[in-house]
Amino acid sequence: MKRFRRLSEETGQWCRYVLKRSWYWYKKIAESPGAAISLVLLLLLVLMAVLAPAISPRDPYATYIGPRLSAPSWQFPFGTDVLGRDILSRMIYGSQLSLVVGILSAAFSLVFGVILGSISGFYGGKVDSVLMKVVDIWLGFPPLIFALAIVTILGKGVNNVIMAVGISGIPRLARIVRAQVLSVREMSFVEASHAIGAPSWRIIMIHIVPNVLSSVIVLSTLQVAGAIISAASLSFLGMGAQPPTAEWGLMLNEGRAYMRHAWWMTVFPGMALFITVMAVNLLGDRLRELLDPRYRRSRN
Amino acid sequence: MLQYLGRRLVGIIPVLLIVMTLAFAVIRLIPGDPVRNIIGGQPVSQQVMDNLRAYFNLDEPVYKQYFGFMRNAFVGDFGISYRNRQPVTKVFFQQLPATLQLAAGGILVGILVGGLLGIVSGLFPDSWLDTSFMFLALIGVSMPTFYSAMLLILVFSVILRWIPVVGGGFMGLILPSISSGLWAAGNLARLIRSAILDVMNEDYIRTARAKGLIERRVVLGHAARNASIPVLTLMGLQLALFFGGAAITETVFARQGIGKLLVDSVLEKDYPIVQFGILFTTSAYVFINLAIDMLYAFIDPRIRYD
Repeated sequence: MKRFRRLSEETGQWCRYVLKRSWYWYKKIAESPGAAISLVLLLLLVLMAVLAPAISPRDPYATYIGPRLSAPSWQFPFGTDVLGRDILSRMIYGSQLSLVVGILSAAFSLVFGVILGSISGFYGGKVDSVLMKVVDIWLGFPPLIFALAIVTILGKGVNNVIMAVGISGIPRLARIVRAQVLSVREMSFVEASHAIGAPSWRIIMIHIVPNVLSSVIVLSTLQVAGAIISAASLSFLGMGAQPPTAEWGLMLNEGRAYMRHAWWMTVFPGMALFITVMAVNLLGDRLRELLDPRYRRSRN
Repeated sequence: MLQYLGRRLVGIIPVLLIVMTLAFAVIRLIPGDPVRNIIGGQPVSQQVMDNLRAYFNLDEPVYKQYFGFMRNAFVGDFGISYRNRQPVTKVFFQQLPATLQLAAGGILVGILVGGLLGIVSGLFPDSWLDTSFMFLALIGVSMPTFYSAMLLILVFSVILRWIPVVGGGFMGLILPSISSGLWAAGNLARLIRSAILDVMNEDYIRTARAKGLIERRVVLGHAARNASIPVLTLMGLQLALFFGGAAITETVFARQGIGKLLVDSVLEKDYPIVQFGILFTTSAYVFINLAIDMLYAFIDPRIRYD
C-alpha cells in the first residue's frame, strides 16, 4: 500500500511537471501574434468538434432534408450534397473525425517515438547507431506509399489509417527525442542518479523523459496537422473513412464528380481542412523560431 | 570522388535488399489467402484455385518463394499482375512517361515560383514584398493537394473555361503541374529565404562587399552557391516524392501515372504491383539522394568525399 501511494505520488508529480513545462512553451509561443491566432483557431476547431451535436443545425447523416445539390442559402448556408444532406453540419461533424484521427495518430507516434528516441539517445553506441539506421530507412519510405503498404496489410478504414499515419510519424519524432535526450543525458542530476545506483529504466522515466517530453508534446501539435492531412488524403483516395461518414477528405472525394454543378460540395470542406493546416503551420513556424537558435539569429 | 561513389553504391545494396525483403513480406502479411483475393470472392472449384496458386508460384513454401522472388528480381522479373496477367514491370513502365511528365512540370513550377518568391524575400527581408511572398508560401504549404487541384479546375476549367479539365498534351499538363508543384514551391520559397538570410550574414559576404564587388557579383558569385546546398537537398526530396507518383493529382485530373496505379492496385488487391511500387519508389529515393550528394561536391569545392 505504501509502495502504491509513493508510486501514485510520483506519477502525480511527474504529470504536473510535464504539464507545467508544456504550458510554459505554449505561453511563449503565443507571444507572436500569428501563432496566437493559430492557437485560437485550433481551439475553435476543438470546440467545434466537441460541441458538434449542439451547434450543427441539422443531422449530418439525414438524407433528403433539402433538395439535392441545392446552392448555399439561408436555409442551408453551405448548400446540400447529392443525397440532400446539409454540408455545414457534415463539415462540423467532420472536424470530430479529423481531430480524433490527428490526435490519436500523433499520440501513437509520440509514444513509440519517445520510447525509440530515449533508448537510442540514452544508451548511445551500438544501440544508437543500429536504431538510427532503422529510422533512416524508415524515413526513406515515401509517406503515402508507406501508408498504402500498411493499409494494404491491415485493410481500409479509419482505425487502420490511424495506425498507418501514426507509424509513419514515429521516425521523425524518434530523431527529435534522441537529439534532446543526448543533451539531457549529460546533466548532473542524471549523473547523480547513476551514482546512487538507480536502474536505467528509472533514470529514463524519472529524469530524462519528463525533461524531454514538454518540447516534444508541443512538437506533436505539428504532428497532428500532418496526420490530419495524411488521413484526409487517404480518405480522399478511398482508403480511409468510408461513406457515409462525415469526413473532410471523403466529402471532397464525393464532391469531385459534381464540381461543375455544385462547387459548394468541395469548396467548404476543403476550406476547413486548409484553415486547420494553415493554423498548425503558423504554429510550427513559431516553434522553429523558439527552438532553433540558428533560425533566431537569421531573423535579426 | 569515384572511390566515394563506389562506396556509396555498395552501401545501397543492403538497403535495397532490406526494402525488397520488406516488399516481399508485405504481401505475405496480408491476412487471407491471396488466391481468394485474385478470384475476388467468387465461388470456384478447388482445381481452379490450385491452378491459380501454381500459376502465381504461391504453392511453394515461403522461403522458396522468397529466394525465387529475389532471384527473379535480379533479372528484372517481378512477377505477374493479378489483375490483367501482364508482367508487373510492363504494367508499371507503361505508366512511367505520364509520371515523368508530371514530375517535370511539378518540379518546374516548384523551382520557378518557389525560387522567385524565396530569392526576393531573402534579398529584401522584412520588406512588404517579403511579407506578402511569405504569406503566399504559407498558403502553398498549407493547401492540401486535392483541394488546390479542385480549386484550379473550378476556376480555370469550370468558371473561366480556359483549360479543359481532362486533356492530353501540354494544355492538359498545366493545371496538374501547378497543383502538384504548389506545395514544393511553398516549401522551396521558405527554405531559400532562410538559406539566403543565413548566408548573407556570413563573413565572406562582408569580405566580398568590403573588397568592392558590385552587389550582383556578391549575390550570384558568393551567396547563391552557398545558399544552394540546403535547397538542393529539399529539391531532391521533392523529386523523389514525385517519382512515387502524385497519386492525388493524378486522381483528381483523371491522369495516368504510377501514383494512381499504386492506389488502384491497393484497392483492388493487386499485390505484385504494390510490391514493385514500393521497391521502385524507395530506390528512386535512394538514388536521387546519392545524385544530390554528388552534386554537392561540384557546387561547393570545400566538400570532398575522400
